[in-house]
Amino acid sequence: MSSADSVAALPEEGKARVKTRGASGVTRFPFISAVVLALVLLVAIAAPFIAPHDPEVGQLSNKLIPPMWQEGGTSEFPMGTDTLGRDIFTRILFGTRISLMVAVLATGLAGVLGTIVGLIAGFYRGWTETILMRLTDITLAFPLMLMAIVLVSVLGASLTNVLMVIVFLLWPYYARQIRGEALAVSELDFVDLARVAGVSNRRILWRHILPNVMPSIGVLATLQVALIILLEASLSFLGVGIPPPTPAWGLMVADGRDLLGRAWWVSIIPGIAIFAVVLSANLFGDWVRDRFDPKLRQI
Amino acid sequence: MKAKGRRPLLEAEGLHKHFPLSGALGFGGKGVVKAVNGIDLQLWPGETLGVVGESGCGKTTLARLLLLLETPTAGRILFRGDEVSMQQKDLAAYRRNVQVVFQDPFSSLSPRMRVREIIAEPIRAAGGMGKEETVDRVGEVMNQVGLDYEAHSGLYPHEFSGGQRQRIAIARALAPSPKVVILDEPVSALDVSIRAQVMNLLADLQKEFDLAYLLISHDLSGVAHLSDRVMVMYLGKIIELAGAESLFTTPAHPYTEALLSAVPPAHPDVESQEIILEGEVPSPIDPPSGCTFHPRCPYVMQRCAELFPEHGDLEPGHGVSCHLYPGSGTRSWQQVAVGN
Repeated sequence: MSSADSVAALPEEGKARVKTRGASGVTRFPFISAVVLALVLLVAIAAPFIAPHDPEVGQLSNKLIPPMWQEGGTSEFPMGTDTLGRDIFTRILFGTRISLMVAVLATGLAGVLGTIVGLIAGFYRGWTETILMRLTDITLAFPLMLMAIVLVSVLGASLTNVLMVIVFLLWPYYARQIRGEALAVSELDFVDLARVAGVSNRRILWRHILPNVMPSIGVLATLQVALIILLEASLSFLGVGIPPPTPAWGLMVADGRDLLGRAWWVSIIPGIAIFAVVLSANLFGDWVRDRFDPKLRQI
Repeated sequence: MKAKGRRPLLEAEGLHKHFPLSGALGFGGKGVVKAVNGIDLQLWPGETLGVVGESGCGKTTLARLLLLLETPTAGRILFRGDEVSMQQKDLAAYRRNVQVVFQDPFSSLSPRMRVREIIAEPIRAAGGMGKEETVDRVGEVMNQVGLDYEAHSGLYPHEFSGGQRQRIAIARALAPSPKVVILDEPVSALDVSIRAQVMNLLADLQKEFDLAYLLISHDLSGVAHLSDRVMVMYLGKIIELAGAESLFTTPAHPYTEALLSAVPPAHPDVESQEIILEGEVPSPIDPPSGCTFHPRCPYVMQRCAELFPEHGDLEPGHGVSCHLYPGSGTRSWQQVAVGN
């Protein structure tokens, strides 16, 4: 018996797999996505050394210079400048840090919180499970974007608050998935055997259940990275995310939305950056899921 | 074998386990499943007590009760005369002495632990052994079940075949030096070709360490081969309990008779005298009145539908619960003639 039968499957999983699988039955490694993500990581680390200008301070005399390949552009500002004369290329480079930091921290914190809740609910059952899972259901019932806007508006826009709100809204996805898996693993004979050996509940959770749900945590986390980047960008765009002048991509898109006719580059270039990273993260996440999802593997 | 110990190692007294059924939407219990319905048994040091019966007769629930994985609805479990229960704070002694080998060696070994960690787990949980001692002990038990510490201890379970996995499970059960090992269908998940090997290994280990086995199985020939005494269960009750020899040669209960007749004869020229029982095993949610076997019994009498026959001795060491044997315990109806 494998644990697969009783584990709740992600929706649309079946369809997605059919599409992304090649003739060999194995998803191809998403090479371009991996390169984009590696580049983002590299840039985030090296931004201060490779950026040609200051990301937050510009000269008004340089405002709205078009990108270098357009008439009037200069190689000093390869992607042009915004209304305050700041170099968009520099701001894109520094923006990777914000996106990456939010994505990594929020994924990590939501993952830890949701996993703990899911493990406890799935293993101890009873009232504990009922309370924890109703709490999860309630949180899942909030409209994601609306709730995020309300919460950040109330708490005030700052990096910490954006992080906290994203964690608060996303932990239930882990809790729900991990509870199902913990439930399935708890039914396996080796858990009963550990009890017969006299192993404490806490140790059973730590040594037997957790290692067997680990792969799903990883898979879910990779898939959520894209969602989190998008969520942060959306909040920043709406003015309830990262406060200016920090170069967050969503904020940059918002900066140029009145100038789309005159200076398209102010909005479109950071928009492309968001698009490329989110798409890459999604494709990569799909591959990770197909490759490592324990449901697809014979135990 | 019974003479060896003066008192039983493991006893059950009036053991019941009823599972409540939850109705639709979790409202309104619709009765209970009486999985184990009043079982008394004694397991003596060094003996093998076989437990046979069809699926759903409560064999596995009985094992889980004795392993303290389920709380009994009623009744007691005693180890060396002392009562044990799940609520007890210090179960270490019981846990060390009563171990189990489950049926499926693919789900009974954690896929993410190395063999040495799997086998060391019960030793570590029991406490009282240092690191080096533990390693020595793991090597020792691996050796006893025919595995090699150097070659096998660092591997993961998926790197072994079913038979080898079951050897790992046996080594783990033996690691804390138990007195009782409950064997829940220990070979039925294995290839036929290696069943005998594992059975013989179990027999050798029993002789060497004076283990008491509770052997649960539906493989009657395996039970006959390994058991000193055999109990037959039907719908959560013991209907016959006897020495293996006596039970297999002169079964008393009609159900036992039918069960034994289902074993194919050893020689192809011998014509099988199989007794085909009518109907299915009744549902344990709504068991028949009186003797739960009466709807399927070829010798059914009026009395059978009214009263469950008490368990009584047909001869010393051969007990049965059946109205066909009026002297065997049911006091109230000695005047009724034996119907046939």
